Amino acid sequence: MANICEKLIEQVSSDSAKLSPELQSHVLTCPECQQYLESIKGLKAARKGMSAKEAAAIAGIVGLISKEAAASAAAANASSGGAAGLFGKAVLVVVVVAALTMVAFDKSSEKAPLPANKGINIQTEDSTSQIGSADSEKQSENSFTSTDELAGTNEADNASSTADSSRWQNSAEQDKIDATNSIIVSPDQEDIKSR
Amino acid sequence: MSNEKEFSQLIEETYRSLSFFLRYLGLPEPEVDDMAQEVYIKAYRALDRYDEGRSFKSWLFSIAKNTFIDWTRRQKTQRKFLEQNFIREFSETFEDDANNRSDIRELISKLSAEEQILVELRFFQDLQFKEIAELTGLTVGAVKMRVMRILERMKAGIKREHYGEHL
Repeated sequence: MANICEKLIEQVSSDSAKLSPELQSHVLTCPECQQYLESIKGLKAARKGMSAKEAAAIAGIVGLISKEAAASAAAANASSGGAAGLFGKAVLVVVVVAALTMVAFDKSSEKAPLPANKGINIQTEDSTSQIGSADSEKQSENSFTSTDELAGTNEADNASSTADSSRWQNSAEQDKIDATNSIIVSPDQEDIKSR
Repeated sequence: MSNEKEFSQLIEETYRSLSFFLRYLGLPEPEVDDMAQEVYIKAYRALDRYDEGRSFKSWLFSIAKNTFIDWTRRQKTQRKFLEQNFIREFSETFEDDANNRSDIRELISKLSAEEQILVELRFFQDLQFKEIAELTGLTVGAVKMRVMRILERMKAGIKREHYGEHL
């Protein structure tokens, strides 16, 4: 077999039209190569067409591919529309937050001016809790009680402070006496003494 | 190739070859249609990763080979290749007596399973020797040698017929 014939076998596939010009001119003069090409043509001509089973299988696969394509197209649309959807969601969230804030402000402004007899000026912590609470009546009662208690405590404090001041005066006088007694003794001297 | 229509056309062109290739690898007959479907869907999903410089058919068959290897791993059983079944199936895709030429079907049925798949991949799918070697696990030299033998036999058959006509 000539080298050129081997080249033809390498190149030959579906039809002779794919042969290079060099090989095409060779085929015209080489009976062996002509027979190779004839045998390939014969092989192709002898092939049956698509069977019903093959056609059904192909139709099934093509159907699946179409569904796949439709699904991916839908997904692409959803993702492109997703940006607009996201913006819409963001706007909705802002609106809801703004509405809630306004409602909260309205409630707080309703609750802020407490009745004068509740004595909010005494305890600021209680007044804060009253603003944030829904059950303001009960809370204000509690705070009222605690204010009374606090007032009582103040009275007691006042009484005790009077007692303390007299005690303080007594102790100051005592300190004066102590100071007069110990004025000549410095701490160092006490140390010396103790030694 | 991103067009669905083009891909459908490709399925029509390659379905028969792909199913014979899967049979050649040793896939049992009841699994062939399902795996062919799996291969096409995989290929369709991976189209964006397809290298344009490579033959599309070669890429498709390499997906088939990998899918088959995965299948054998899942099955954890020794695959059994029934050569006679494959040869019968393959030769039945040829006419008994096409265009009053030599009996190609008989000639095809005498080829080995490897030679038959070479006929399919080389002459009906236009794959290169190198691509066929990668798919079948044969060397490029072995593929060339087998294709030459096939052509010699066919040429001999045609010659005999031609010679007989003139006797």
